[in-house]
Amino acid sequence: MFTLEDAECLALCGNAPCVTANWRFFGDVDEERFDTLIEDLRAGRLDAEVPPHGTLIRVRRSVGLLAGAPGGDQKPADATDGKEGQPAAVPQRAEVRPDGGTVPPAAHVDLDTHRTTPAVLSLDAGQLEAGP
Amino acid sequence: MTIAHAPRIVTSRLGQPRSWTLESYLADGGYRGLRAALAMAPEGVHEHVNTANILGRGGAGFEAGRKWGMLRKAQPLYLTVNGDESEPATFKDHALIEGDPHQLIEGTLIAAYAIQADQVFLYIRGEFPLGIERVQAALNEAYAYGAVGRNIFGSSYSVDIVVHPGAGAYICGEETALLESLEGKRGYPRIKPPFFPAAIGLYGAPTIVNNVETLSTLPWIMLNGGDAFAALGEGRSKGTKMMALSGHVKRPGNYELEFAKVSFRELMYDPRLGGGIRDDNELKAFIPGGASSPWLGAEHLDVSLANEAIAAVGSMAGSGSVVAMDNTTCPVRAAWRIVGFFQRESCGQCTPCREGSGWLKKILERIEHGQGRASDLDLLLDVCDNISPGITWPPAQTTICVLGPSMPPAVAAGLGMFRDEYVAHIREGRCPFPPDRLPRRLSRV
Repeated sequence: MFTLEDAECLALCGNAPCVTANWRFFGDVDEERFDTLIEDLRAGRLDAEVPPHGTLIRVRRSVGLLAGAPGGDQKPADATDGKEGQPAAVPQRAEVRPDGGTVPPAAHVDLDTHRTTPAVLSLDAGQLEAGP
Repeated sequence: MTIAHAPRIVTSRLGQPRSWTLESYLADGGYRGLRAALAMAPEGVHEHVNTANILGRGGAGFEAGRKWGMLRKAQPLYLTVNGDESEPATFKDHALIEGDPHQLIEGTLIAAYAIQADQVFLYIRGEFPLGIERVQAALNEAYAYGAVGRNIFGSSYSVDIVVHPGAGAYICGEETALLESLEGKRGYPRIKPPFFPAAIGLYGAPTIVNNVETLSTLPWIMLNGGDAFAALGEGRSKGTKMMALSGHVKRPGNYELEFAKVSFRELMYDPRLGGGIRDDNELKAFIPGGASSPWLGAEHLDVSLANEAIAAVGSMAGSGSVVAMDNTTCPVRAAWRIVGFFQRESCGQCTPCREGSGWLKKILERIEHGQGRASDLDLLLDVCDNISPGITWPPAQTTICVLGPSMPPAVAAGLGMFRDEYVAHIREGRCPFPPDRLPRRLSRV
């Protein structure tokens, strides 16, 4: 189930040493935490955060390209296209619609991390109070 | 005491619960900067950025406003965001991408409006899947909110942002290689001149490539004015800077500090910052600006964290990544690690870098393992000299991009400062330093 390889530059030096499991980062790893990590992965307790091998990104774009889409108000440069006739008199925001075979947003993906190490770190330290 | 009072411009939301969602971003006043920008002319936005005099935060330290001013006037115009942070010791953009994607998107839109970009590409390193997911989710929210796409917030400006994951090559952080990669080609840097992106960039069109941290400051600048930003810092180094502190310090991490007002000593030893060297050891040397910058010794601890001050002592502020090395650090092993990274990431286009990196790595490896020869020290410098003639700083180069010249500093600086220790490796036939060890489990985890 597991293959161990070396990985370099995970942009997590503040939490070194770190591990990436299917590209999800775990920082401040020591022997004990590493064992726990393996146990948790094996038992499926991290399935919500660590996708299966081969899945990189679980969130897809929900809309197509809108800026140059025909219809509605046009930028001056696009107005020469004239595909949809008259530009709308009143500039108004085009409604956002999925167009052109896009994938609906994956609402079920929770991007919160409970066990993986988010890149935000030492913020307690970064929060500087006034000195003495 | 100045370090206590500087505002946190880009990191203010990091660490807050669900900081990556539109909901929490709006609750914290999000997208007001973009609205302010849209209310003025694009030139007005550009003027604010010029006033702020923000140096590009990617490492080269070129003024963002001046870069925009160099754009060739043509259509289409592209804006590309460089989120390919992957130099060893650098981890600030990672935090911004994952922790505050809406701030990045807002900053990107402000920049796009200022230069009237026709399309924006957000290039994010492929090894940041959580970051890519959060940025994509944030972008979906921003589209639904009307901040991106057609007629942003009812204005006449329309632009699309496309997230483009990289494939994890360090070289694609070089702006022209990034553009090659975006075009679907192998990430080979282009020759400058003529391929300055502002003149001939993506698909041959004028293109601006800006760093994540640079763009993330723009919402604050639009709300508070370029003057407020320029009031922070000193000389050319304005505003605040994220410092990514790592290595043998007690409290590694990202710290946003007022530019040019904090010294390396304060950064590493202040109890609110680095908190001192591990085990209260002595500091041996430190890397001031990422793995590619020349090392500095303890005598330079009082140099302030400013581009000019660091340049004056022969190194660079780079992306703001400081690595502390205590007195148990083996300079040969450290150089070997650094060179090994660049050797693996060399794109292979130019011979001095492709071949020289392998040579350097092999020589350092045999010295470290006790098989070094007396002639190796000169050989190291000779190879370095072939990659970067004269081994000076700023480096001359025999290569198209600066990846090659990123290797000699670690070797030459280490050799210059700790020649005795290199010699000891060769004379004793072994490494006199203790093996690497894991940091003790950190208390906050």
